[in-house]
Amino acid sequence: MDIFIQQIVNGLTIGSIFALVALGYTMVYGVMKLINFAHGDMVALSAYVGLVLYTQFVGSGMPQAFIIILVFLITALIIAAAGVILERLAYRPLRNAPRLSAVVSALGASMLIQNGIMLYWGPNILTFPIGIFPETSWVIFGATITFIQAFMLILTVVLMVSLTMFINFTKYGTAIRASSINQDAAKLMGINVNMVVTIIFIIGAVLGSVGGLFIGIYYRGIEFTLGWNYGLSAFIAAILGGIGNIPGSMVGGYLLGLFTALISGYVSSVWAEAFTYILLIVILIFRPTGILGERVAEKV
Amino acid sequence: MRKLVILSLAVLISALFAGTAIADTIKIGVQAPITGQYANEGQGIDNAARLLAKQYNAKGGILGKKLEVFTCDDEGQAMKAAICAKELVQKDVIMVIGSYTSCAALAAQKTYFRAGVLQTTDGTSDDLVKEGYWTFFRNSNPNSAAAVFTADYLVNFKDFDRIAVVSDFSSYATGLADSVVAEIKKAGGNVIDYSKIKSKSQNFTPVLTKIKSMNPDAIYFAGYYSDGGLLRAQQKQLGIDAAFVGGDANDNEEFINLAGSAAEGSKIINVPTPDMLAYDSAKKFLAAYEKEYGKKMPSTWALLNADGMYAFLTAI
Amino acid sequence: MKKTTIAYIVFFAVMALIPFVSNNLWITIATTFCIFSVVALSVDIVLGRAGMFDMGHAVFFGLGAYATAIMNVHFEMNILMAIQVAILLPAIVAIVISSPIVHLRGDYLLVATVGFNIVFVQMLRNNFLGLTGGDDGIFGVDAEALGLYLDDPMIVYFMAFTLLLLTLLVIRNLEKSKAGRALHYVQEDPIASESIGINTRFYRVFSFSLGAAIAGLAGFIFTIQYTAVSPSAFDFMTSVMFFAIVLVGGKASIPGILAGTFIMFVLPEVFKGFETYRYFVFGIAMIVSMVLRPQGIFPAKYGKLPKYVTEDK
Repeated sequence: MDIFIQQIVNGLTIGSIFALVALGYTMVYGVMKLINFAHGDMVALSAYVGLVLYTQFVGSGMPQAFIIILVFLITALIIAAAGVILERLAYRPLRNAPRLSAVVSALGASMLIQNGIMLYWGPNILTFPIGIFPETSWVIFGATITFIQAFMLILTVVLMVSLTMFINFTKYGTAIRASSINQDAAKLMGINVNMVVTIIFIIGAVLGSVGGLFIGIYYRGIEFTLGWNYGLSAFIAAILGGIGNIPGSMVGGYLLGLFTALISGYVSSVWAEAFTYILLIVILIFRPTGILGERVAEKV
Repeated sequence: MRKLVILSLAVLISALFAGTAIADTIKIGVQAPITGQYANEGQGIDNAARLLAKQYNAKGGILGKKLEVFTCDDEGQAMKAAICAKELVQKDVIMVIGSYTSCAALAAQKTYFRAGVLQTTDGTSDDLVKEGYWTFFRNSNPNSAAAVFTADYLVNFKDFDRIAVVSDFSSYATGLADSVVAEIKKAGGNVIDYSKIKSKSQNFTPVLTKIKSMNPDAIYFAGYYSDGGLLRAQQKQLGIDAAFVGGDANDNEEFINLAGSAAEGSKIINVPTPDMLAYDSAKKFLAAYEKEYGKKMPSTWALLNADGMYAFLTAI
Repeated sequence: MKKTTIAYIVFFAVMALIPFVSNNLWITIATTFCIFSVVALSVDIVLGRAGMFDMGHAVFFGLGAYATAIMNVHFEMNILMAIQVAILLPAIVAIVISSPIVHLRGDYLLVATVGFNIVFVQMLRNNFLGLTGGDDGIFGVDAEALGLYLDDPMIVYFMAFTLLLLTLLVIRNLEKSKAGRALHYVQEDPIASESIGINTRFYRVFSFSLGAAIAGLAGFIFTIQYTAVSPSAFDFMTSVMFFAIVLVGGKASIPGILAGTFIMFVLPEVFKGFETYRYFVFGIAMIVSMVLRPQGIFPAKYGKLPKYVTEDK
């Protein structure tokens, strides 16, 4: 039983990362109907930026907690700026072009960022230093939870609750929801869709940057291909929950984390990845709008 | 449709440019992972081979001919290696140093054999000598020898009763893990689990948690350092109190960086590290390497490959 | 004669002359160009002509290649015996896996094909049924047939070149046939074409299996060229490359796709020294070309139809 709980904890930890990154995919898809392939690489970029910032600050004599907050904030700012620039240069000119052109542009942006990281930081693995967080851990029902894991879970939940409130109870949130239902109608109602797009890119980038820092701090080794590894999983999470559906991708992230943990723990570590994708295909065939997605009749 | 004409012209011109300029040199190929996951090792092998060639050239070369080194990046992958093999053969090299990974060396083997090009590698997979090509020489211990030693160490020397084996999907790791499992069983040991992790996936906790439930005495990991370090760190973090023993490809300084404080107490079974070697020539070569490139050799593998090249050159 | 015809004749003449004016290295590159062009053209049948977002085409390419290698290495059959299997197996698998998913809307289909690609590669890596040889793949393919070593660069080149000609012929016929027209209608408006009596589902599956058969045959020659196959050659990134080639070149545009393949696979060989910058530059090029020419470099033109008929809404 304690092993089962441990697997749940494992699943929730990686699930937090999936959920944070998945939100970036889902929000962009919701409004622009575009799979933003470059989002995963933004996450990788944030891990590298975070590492540079942390090594800058760590010797400065500031208290550790303050350094951590600073690193999270500045990384989020830089990645948000990068996200906005990316949208301006690579996606906005293609707003009215055929859908696939934007997909190719996104793939190009992904290659650009990924290989830019490789050229600048080198192809080798870089490591976050140890001792960023205290190495305390607690044993609950026989399962070990470390300080970092607890921090990750709590921060993710806080971010998600705030995002849900923002989407549901503010003016901007209403604008985002309206634009994702029907962009043209939203424009007619006087909503500045360009501004909505900028906002979702900022939110997506900020959440992604937190995910990227989690990867760096928790797993410690970062590599330039990291964006594809996590990006693809997070994207699946977004689809599991119903792409375009914000609560859906939170649920999807945690479900995917739990699913992979339990499959590789109890069924087969060798075939875990294949099982995940078979699940994905089955869900697509029988419920293409995802677990939480609403069944909407296809518009003609 | 002028574009098509331009395109064809481009093809033709680029084909013409590919003229061959053959100088009177002895050509040596280096086939190594210069980029990708094992870039660190590949660059070490390349540097070592170039250094050795430079040393020879300073002494006037061999048989009055200068040595020239060509490098081909195989990224440690079998298909790329097959392409590299053809490329190097077409450049008329007489010998090839490399590659780092067993599968890359394996895939290239046959091409070199047909062309009569000598090949030396640090690859440890047992399949390497299965075909018995006369052009093929290895410069390190085969996996099976390492497996016998590992099993002996785990079962007889350390008296571990419950051993969990972990590998990744690469041919090197699968081969090593398979033979270690077989040898442990032969030595009367008890393999309680044999799992695989996906290289680079970083999240190894599900597999480790499963292993934890089996109360192992030791975890043997047969993969590469980039995963090994993380595996060890996560093992500690989950509070699994078992000894960690790594296969030879964990022998890299990055392992310690990745594992952090958990690196302490983990053991890696390999031939001696560069600075542990007692031979004078080896020490001299290492010093020269450090002077030339301003950094230490990444691991023994580069040295072993240089060693293989040295043997070939002496033979000529 | 029309300009197009002249251009094609010049192009083929140059391609046929390559082996006689250059060395082995360039023959190899030209072979790669032919094989990858064929695969890109087969992706185009699904993506460009039937309008289905297929980002998993490496599965069919890989099936053809692996079928050839497995029959030759494990069952010690003559390499030529593998041709039928390399065509039929991918075609059948395409029918089986595409039937349940062709009704999916664009992006969902894309994700499903990506999923199939990843499952396929994992099967290869896990040494499925003990046949695929795990992570190394299969090597030591013996390409001796009819008293010749088929993996001789010159012979492989002419095989690949012939395949390219054949593929272009098939596509020309497809364009002029009932099936080609049906695919075009299905892509433009599935519901309208259904209402005029076109079996949408049938033609979508048909395009998948035709594309798969051609890609499988390309895989057959690919295996002969390298005498080895490994999972990494058929992973998801390969599918992405072909997907990008078709869209950067221009959907349903043969010169566009040939140019795309040339840019993606031949230019990097010319500028070897810049290899590390390769994908970085590609990334920029993909964005710029899409921003400047969203329809591709050489968009396909559809005869003399008035503009309002062909234009995208």
